[in-house]
Amino acid sequence: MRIAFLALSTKAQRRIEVHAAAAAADGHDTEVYVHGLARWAEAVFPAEVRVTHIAADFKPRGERRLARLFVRRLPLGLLRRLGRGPLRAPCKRLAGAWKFHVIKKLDARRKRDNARARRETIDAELTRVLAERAPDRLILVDGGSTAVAARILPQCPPGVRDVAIMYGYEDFKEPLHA
Amino acid sequence: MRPSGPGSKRVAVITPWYPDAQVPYKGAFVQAKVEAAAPGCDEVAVYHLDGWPVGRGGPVPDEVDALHERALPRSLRAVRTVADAALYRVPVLVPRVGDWAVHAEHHARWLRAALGGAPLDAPVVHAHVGITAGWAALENAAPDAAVYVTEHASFLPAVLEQPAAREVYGEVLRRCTRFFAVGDPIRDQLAELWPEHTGKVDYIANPISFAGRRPAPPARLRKWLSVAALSERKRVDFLIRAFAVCRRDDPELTLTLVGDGALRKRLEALAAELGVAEAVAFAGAVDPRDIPAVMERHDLLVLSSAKETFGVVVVEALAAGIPVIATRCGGPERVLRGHEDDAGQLIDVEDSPESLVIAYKTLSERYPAGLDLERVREAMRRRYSYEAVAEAHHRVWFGPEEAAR
Repeated sequence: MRIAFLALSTKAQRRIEVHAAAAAADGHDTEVYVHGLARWAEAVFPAEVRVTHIAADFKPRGERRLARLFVRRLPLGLLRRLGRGPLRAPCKRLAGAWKFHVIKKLDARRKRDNARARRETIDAELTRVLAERAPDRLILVDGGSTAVAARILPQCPPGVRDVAIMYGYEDFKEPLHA
Repeated sequence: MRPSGPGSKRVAVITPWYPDAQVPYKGAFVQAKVEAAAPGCDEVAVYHLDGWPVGRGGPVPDEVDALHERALPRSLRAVRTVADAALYRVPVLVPRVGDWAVHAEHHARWLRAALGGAPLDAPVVHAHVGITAGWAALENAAPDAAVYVTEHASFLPAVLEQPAAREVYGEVLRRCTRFFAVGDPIRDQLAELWPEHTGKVDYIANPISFAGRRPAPPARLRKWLSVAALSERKRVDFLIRAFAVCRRDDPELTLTLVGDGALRKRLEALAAELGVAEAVAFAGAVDPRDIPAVMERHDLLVLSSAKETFGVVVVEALAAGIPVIATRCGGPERVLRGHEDDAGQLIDVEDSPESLVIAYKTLSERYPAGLDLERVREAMRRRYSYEAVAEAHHRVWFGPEEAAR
């Protein structure tokens, strides 16, 4: 049986390690989908478990040079220079207000855009991988993976869309009521 | 054949915590209660309502809700847990909000979905914590089922601060058959808010293993032990400061800190700053099943908490045959009532490590002649052993006659 663990975040890392190892030990073709090379670097899986990094190449967009110059360096530098004399207090207040009303909002917007781009990249890649591998069981491990599954499964081909969803491998390892 | 009917001893346990591969000690006390009480029952089914936060603060998105609604009833399977009980893991999608009433409703709703809309198939339902599992149990029990609730939560004051959660909690108290608290602080708090239900609230203990013990009592109290999370409430910083003072008089003293938490780095720095880093071992989190063996390798347990609902480590230490120094932080003074001097030294919760230093010096002076560890161990065994706790539960669930069988 092909078993896929949808485990993008490391929130349930230990549980996933244990359950994936158990599934592989039972002879299933086991795969774990993860996201974030750095945060999954310390995870330990047996060799039989295939770990697929989803959206491994995704890089969040940094602040553009021009924006950095005109939004951050020039105005704040000017206020710093003006504030060296008797205008220190109003310049300091103005710099604070600029940071609060302009810079903070732009930063928040960039973060939102990055989060959206990351989500879209993950969804597209995961949809492609799931369609390719067509697992028999898709194992959800936390709220995040449930949300991702709810987004991507409707985009998948019919066979994959109706994959049996399970919550952790231990749930069907030893069924009492088959 | 599966036993059924009103006389059958089938029990459903509803809990928001149960050990799993991710956190092997989460809800270990619920597992211990199941292990103690399941023998003697016809069937015990544990429903672990595992909270899965979704989203960024708003309600759970509709498409996530729909997927879970569809998948949950189909994927619910039982696995064997302790004492041959059946364990069902029920993932409960909850919005990322701090509203306990909302969490209670979601727990009730997803348990219902997991059961396919049918009520819990047991004449006895025992829930752990009023919110969330107590509410989920009441909303899913069969109409003629008896529902018991045990409150353990040290975060109960935060729950009851919310008006909506307080209303739900009042309903839990009103509708349940009987309510249990594991310590006086919880009982006092409930009695203050709902004096009309005081008669319904009783005391029930967590079971402790008395299987192992030190071969002989410690000759001197040199190996200190703390089993506590490294959090503000446990006041491990006071313990390290007191230990540093005592170690000036006796350089052979050592301190083992079992437990982990956000303060670990700060406490390691404190031990280094006080010059006792080489004598203080940070052992990290330890599987609860290994705690008795750890206790047996030490001479003295020190509990420096500001607040405890029960103080299970105090009983575990006495079961292992070592004395204790503990603060009167809610649980220990109740547990040791009538045995304070036999067990070690109880001190008030104070904003200084000085009382711990004095307690250690006083205890060292009167140890071993002034203590009776054997007597107190036997008293604890009668109240907190697996057999005693099982009997207490069976008496409540099935009546005194059935429990005696």
